[in-house]
Amino acid sequence: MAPHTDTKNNYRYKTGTNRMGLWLFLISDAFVFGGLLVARFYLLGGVRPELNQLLGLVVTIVLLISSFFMNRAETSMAYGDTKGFLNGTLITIILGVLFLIGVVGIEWQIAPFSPSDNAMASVFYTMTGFHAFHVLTGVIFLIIVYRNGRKGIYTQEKHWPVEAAAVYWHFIDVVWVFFYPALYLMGVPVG
Amino acid sequence: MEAQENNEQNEKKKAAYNIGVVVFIILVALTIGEYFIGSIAVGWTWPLWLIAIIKAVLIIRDYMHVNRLFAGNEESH
Repeated sequence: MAPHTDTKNNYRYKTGTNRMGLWLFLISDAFVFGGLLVARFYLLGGVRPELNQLLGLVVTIVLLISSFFMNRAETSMAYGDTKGFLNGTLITIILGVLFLIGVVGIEWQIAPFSPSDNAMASVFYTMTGFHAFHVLTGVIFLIIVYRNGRKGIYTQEKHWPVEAAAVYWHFIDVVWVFFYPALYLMGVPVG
Repeated sequence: MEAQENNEQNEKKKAAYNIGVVVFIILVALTIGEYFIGSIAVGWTWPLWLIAIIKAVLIIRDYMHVNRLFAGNEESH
């Protein structure tokens, strides 16, 4: 077997193993988010906090757009288009920061309660805070990948970190897909 | 020969981009739909759960490419 082929096969094998490890981590992380979701329905039942509906919709759409550009960035790298990858990643980073500003910078400030007020407030701040922390780590991960991409480290054949960052980012989106209706839409609003 | 390969590559990339666009449009439409359901039919939760599950499945299948987990050592793209 030629050394080049061997290296390529090794990389594929390692990527397969890494991929399995990443998904196992995400599944274990999903249990934590699932626990928070259960806590929300156990503690609040058929009521929900009185939140800014329009802001909730806007931050959700921002996160969806960021997922779209992340997917585009990863696809670009998979086909050797480094420029497309860099542009898509940069837009994703900006949208991630906008999401953080929307939730932590605005929603937290205008919410009609503080974290220690009652169970509803605790649930709201814990769910959004834990999710926002994941968004923040995702943004940091993307900045590292973007920086490495600019250095030309990734190629069409070898770009596992790009795939990992993309899968992690989409996972954050999946979590919000459940958190958004649970916090903003389900139940009767209570101030 | 090389030009033909490039063409095929571009076609594949375009097809992958298109899937991303279609999924994105569906996700946004469902999100706007759930916003109106939440605003108009207060307390009507099962359609919201259904929409959330559909959205999650779309993201996991088409953006996270869960099928790559079962591809073993084959090419992922």
